[in-house]
Amino acid sequence: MLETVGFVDALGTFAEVTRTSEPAERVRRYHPVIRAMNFNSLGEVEEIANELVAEFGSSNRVSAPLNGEAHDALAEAANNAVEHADSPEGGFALAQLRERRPTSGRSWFIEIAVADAGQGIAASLGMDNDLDAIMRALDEGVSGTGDPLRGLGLTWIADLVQKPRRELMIHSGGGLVVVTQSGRVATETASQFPGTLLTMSIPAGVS
Amino acid sequence: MQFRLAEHGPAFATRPRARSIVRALPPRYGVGPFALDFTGVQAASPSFVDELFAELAGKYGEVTISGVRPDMHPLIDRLIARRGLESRFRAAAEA
Repeated sequence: MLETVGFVDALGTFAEVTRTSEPAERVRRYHPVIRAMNFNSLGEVEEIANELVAEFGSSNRVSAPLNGEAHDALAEAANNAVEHADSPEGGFALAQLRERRPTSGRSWFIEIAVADAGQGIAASLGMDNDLDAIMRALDEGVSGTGDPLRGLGLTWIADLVQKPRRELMIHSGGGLVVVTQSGRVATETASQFPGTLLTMSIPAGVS
Repeated sequence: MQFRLAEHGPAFATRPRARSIVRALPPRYGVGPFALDFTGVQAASPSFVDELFAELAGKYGEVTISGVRPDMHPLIDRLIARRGLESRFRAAAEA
């Protein structure tokens, strides 16, 4: 997904993204809703999130609730990138509709990706282990600010994928966690992601 | 007098946006509780809504809420509960 729409190019040389969610031949079409965009401030996050809502809102494949969920996921991930990542290059975001071909029929998926080249979740939380830090960050009330009334964003995104065929992936440093309705799968990765990458995929409907 | 959030845009993503909206409002806004109308709002992130509620509670004390799309109720209820604002935030009586 990331390579297809130019996200890797947008990330430049400081990130190596090798994960693809499924074989390329099964990907029929993709429709960038917002192309890979760089942001450095919360004001720019507002602009990107508003653009996403406008573009998804013009698609007859995306319902108003799904549009809201896509907005919330991108907004919260991008908020974290600006507020906690300490990334000199800021963050990058993209959103797209993609057609996949499962075993029967065709399905359209909303895909959101937000990445930064910052300190990573572990450093943001003052922890040593990337995997433990990602799992901890998914708990409600855990925030780099230390304020227990903060720390809802990632939890909320994880809650959004508690429906069939939805998936959240967080890769930070050497930790990778995939969240689905079935639970969380945590993996130590050989490749280090220099910052944090979050992707979310949710079905938009069947054409 | 109702405050229609959608007059500030269709979607809201960040805490500073919430602060700027509330801080631009006058110290008193109509009679009785502050009447917040979500009609026409297409998206509001948890961060935005949390900050909006915190600012409104601090400035006006009591708030009534109307026009919320059904799929947004879980977020709003959760944020009100997290901040312990159940006694100060309530749904407006719909016409």
